[in-house]
Amino acid sequence: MPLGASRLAFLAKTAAAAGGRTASTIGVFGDAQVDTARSVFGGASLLLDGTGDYLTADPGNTGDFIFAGGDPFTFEFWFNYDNDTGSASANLLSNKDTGSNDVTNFFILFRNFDTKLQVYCTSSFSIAAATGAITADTWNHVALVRNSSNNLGFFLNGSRQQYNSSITGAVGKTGEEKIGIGALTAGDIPFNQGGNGWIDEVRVSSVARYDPTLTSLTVPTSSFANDDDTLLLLHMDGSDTSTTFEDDTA
Amino acid sequence: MILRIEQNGETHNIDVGDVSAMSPDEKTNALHTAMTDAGLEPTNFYIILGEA
Repeated sequence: MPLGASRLAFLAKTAAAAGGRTASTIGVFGDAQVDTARSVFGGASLLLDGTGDYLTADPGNTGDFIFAGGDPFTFEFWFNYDNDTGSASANLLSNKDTGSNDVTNFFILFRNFDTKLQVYCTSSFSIAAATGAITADTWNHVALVRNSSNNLGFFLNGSRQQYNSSITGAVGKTGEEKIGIGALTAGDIPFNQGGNGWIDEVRVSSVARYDPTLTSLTVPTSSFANDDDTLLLLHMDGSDTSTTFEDDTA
Repeated sequence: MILRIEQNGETHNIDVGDVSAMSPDEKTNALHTAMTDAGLEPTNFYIILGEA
């Protein structure tokens, strides 16, 4: 039997898995698509129109997105919005599905009402207006970082906005391991309601990529490369209007 | 403006007044004042679901 493209892709994934990792499965919903009009790196980003568009990352390895107390992590990405036309909150990155909050949830929300970010990471780190106002049509680097001493920092464009020295709770739990990008994992509160929004270069890591005890970090100036500590890596690159997104960790 | 606020699994309509000329910080303060007046706790987690 000749090896077709799908068979070759399967073999490539299998080989990657044999090396220790299987990439997350990326779910694409609504009109979520690659857009070459705006990007931080790679000439393209994820475009979301706020009406049902979002991605989900379903981990290829059980426990990828579960962090017990004392486990370090870094969630980071860039986002951009074109105007402020509504008043709702919109999810940028979260592990919440729907319904009531779980103590293992984390959220990074954009609030159209006052154009600020809102962050929640376990019930002990909940800040409604976690940043100053964010200007439209600009790229913003966001990082939520915990180290192995349970110091947790929330950074915007290199400046620490919030900090707690004792966030000991687990983040993520078995059976609810998806991450929603641009909406909650079940599609609620999509980004950017009332206008377009873009997200680029999403990375989840099993280490503290930055020191949360410091008041600033150096914002990366090039796209991320996969390494042993990378759990999810979405470059959001491709041809304009493409709906194919791949996790670059395998 | 009346906002729909979800907190503790319940949705509440919160009247924040006329915020059209307010700065972002003034909007935040108006919302948190209105939430407090309505018996909600702005330091606990909530989501702004949109306008009522």
